[in-house]
Amino acid sequence: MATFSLNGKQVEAPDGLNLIEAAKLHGVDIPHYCYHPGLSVAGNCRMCLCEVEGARGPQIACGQQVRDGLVVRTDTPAVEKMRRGVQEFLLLNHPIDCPICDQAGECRLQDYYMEYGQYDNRSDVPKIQKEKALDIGPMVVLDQERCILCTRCVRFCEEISDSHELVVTGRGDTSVIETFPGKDLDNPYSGNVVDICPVGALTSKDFRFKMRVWFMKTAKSICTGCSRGCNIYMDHKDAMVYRYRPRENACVNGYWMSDAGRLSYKSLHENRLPHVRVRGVEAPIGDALREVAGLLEGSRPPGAFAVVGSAFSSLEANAALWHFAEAFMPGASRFAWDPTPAGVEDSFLLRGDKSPNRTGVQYLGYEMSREALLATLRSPSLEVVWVMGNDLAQDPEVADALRGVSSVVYFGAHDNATARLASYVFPVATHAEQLGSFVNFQGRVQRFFKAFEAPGDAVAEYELLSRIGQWLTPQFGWSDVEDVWALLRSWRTELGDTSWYSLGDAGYQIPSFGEAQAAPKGLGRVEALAGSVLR
Amino acid sequence: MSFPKILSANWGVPDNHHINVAMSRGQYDVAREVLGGARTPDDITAEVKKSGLRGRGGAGFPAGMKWGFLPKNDPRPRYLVINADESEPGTYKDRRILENDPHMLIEGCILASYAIQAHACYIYVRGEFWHQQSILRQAVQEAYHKGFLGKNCFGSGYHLDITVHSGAGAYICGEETALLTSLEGERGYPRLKPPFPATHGLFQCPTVVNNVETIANVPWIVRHGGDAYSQIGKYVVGPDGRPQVDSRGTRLMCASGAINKPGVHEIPLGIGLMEYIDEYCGGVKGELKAAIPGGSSCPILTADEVRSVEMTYESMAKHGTMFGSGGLIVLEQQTSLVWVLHNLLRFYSHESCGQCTPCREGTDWLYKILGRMLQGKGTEDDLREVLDIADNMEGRTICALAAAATMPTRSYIQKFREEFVSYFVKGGRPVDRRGRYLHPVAPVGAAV
Repeated sequence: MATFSLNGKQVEAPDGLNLIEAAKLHGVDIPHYCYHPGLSVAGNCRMCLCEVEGARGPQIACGQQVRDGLVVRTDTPAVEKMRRGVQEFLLLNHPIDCPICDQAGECRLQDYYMEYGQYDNRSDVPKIQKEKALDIGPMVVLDQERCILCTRCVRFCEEISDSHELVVTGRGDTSVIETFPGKDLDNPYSGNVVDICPVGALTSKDFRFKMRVWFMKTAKSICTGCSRGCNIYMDHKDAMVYRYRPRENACVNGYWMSDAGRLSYKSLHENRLPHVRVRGVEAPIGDALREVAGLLEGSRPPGAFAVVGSAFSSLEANAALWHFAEAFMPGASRFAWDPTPAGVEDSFLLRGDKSPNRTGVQYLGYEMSREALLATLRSPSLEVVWVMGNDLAQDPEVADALRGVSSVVYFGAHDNATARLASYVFPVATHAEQLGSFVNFQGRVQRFFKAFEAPGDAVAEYELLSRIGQWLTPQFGWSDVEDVWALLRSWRTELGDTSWYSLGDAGYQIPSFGEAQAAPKGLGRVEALAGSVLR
Repeated sequence: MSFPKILSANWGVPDNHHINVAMSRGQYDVAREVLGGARTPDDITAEVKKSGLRGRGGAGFPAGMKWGFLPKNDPRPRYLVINADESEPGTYKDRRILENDPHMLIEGCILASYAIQAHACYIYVRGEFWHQQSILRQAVQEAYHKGFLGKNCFGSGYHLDITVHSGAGAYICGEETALLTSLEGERGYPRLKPPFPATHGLFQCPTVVNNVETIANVPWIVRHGGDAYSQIGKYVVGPDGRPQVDSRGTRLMCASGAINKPGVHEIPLGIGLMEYIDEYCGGVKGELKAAIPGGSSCPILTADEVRSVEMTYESMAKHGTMFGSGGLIVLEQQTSLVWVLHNLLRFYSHESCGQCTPCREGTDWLYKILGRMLQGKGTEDDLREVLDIADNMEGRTICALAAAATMPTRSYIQKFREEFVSYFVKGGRPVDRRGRYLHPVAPVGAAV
């Protein structure tokens, strides 16, 4: 730790920490455009200028590292004038087309103008015209006029995606960001440049013009695109998710997420199942619950039950199903196979396993083999199979086997082949509509939060199971995720006295999976901290 | 005053750019001797330190001291980089060295590389200097053939490679860190300092970047000794028997503008600027109005100041300007300073690399406002605005290009305010294509 003086107050911060970060720790916001904790320091926007004792002239905060005896002032009239000056320069050739700009509402130029600018416009020189609405790749649209040339995107393509598509060309105030001749911005992480662009120069082709950002609300969530489980912000309005944005987690995804994951929100709203169906006909939920509970009444021969958990459902849903089977389905086999093929994997974020919670179902003890599942489904003694989440019927052999079972109960959020052949279909909430957690490939429990209410009859899986169970044992069930977590805790002593609500936004590493794994390159503050990446 | 010509002694000797001609005049003798074991690297550095040689590129940093900044016992390779990206308007001295005496530079490179124990030396030549480049490349080839460069220089076991690298025509690449970035093959953006090139220069290794003229002095200094060099020049000796200024030796001045004999002259430091103009440049053509002493980025001097300033780093600083790169531009009474400033700002706005916000936007903004003033559409507010913009730019950027644009801007307006104000009439004041008033004007700002 180093002790330094910030605006006249003696404060402490880790030695070598970037001054912008150190000031943030103490509640001092130093405005900046080009600095990004996940990228090297470029020092070109000059917005973070501050006064450092002993230095020749004003210094950029992003180029300063905390050390003992550093004396910094960010609140003097001189610093205010510098910020106003830089703000004026940045807006000099900016088109100021805020009403039609997709970034409006989350634009640094707007925010900082209100906070540090507030000058009267004195520029009457003609603005420089550049290209607008350039289609530079599958995810991104570039507006060169709005660009402030902070080069965050260029550095991202150099340092994180290592694909070098973006370059600065031209000189002086005719400089522009462009794609390298003959290249498109089409790397698997290209959407991140939209997030890190502090202004409206890079906008998302998928999101632009769909929603004004100030109308949306945000929930902390987890991307379900693959087993990495990138931490995200889920932006939504009126029970509709509009986009995912990466949320910082140094141990998992740094500041980034993949394009595939970013677009995975689309499947949330496709083919939703809002209503209960019994043998293909919509039915009142109360009647259906009672009827399904009836399937479990009385004594059955061994091998009459099977449940299929899902790597696409939460840890809590799978735990509840496991417990439900233990309680009401004596001798039930428990599987969690799903027909999803492995996908693209790379050395950065993308994992080949495209399910968010496979580690979680394995941790609970579900049998993952397809052959064992098929053998059980084909066994003549099987009467009731309980399928959660997965579209098992995508696999023709499994579909055939399922047709031979007298009662198939399906819990799912989406209408699919399995739902069509099931005798009882119960809609459940997606991860946008309930609280829960996934265990990513590292063995890290990561929570997601409820963004909005589920449509129609849909509820969380554990709630549905509680209501069915209560027909059989009135005390059965869980009132919320914390109850389900208590169940998990009773099974796994290593979870100690953790509680769901205190797992933390960065997730909880299950001890038996070992220490948190080393983050991939470019992940997190570690590098920015070292200060060795000054260019 | 009489003084030994160090840099320009052999200029004009026919075929002096050929190695045999150069050798016949003693070139490479010192390097052969030194590499043969006569002097240690530290010896050479000490000699240069003793000479008081200051960098001739513009900043005037003591050369020997710069060499001493390289970290000792560092396992990384070291590099010597010669800055021949001479692009400052008004400056054309390095080009004369490259044309007339390339072997003096190469010998200097050998000695300087040996002093800092570098085995690779890059000469970064301005892109437009294609003719000078071909001369230099040929000279380097000749030195290789003679065995003066390469694996075993002069048979001494020391090896040194010199690479001539062509710039691509950007003024900013004369800034030492931009030059290094450009040399590495990237866009020529200046780097954040610290770290300085002495510790993290070319390829993140310890690097010395020196101007052509600075290095060209080294063979003479090693041959005749640092003391001999430091005695050249005109200076007042203090009571302790030591010179009172730190400006010793000779330097090349490039004179242009309203003088009778423009050209490059080698002068002993310490003489008066007016003395230089009168004795070397054949006097002012017309009536002196002002002079830019060290290249276009230096604050301007009024006629009175020109008469009193001496050609030392110290005297220049005392008069609020800089010795810079030695590019003297003399302006006479009929030249419009508004036009000159407009012309200058066009250069800086065109050459701003665009990295830092204040310089990228500010240089062009100033240029556009000056353009408006030139057309007679300016107001008092504009003058205030120009000074305020200059304030917002200067010292707020990574490199000094913003300051190179704002320092002259501020000095022109402060020292010749009436002339700028006289432009606030509809239509401005007509000038010819060289910026001279079409209707002769009464002298401004000069003591007449």
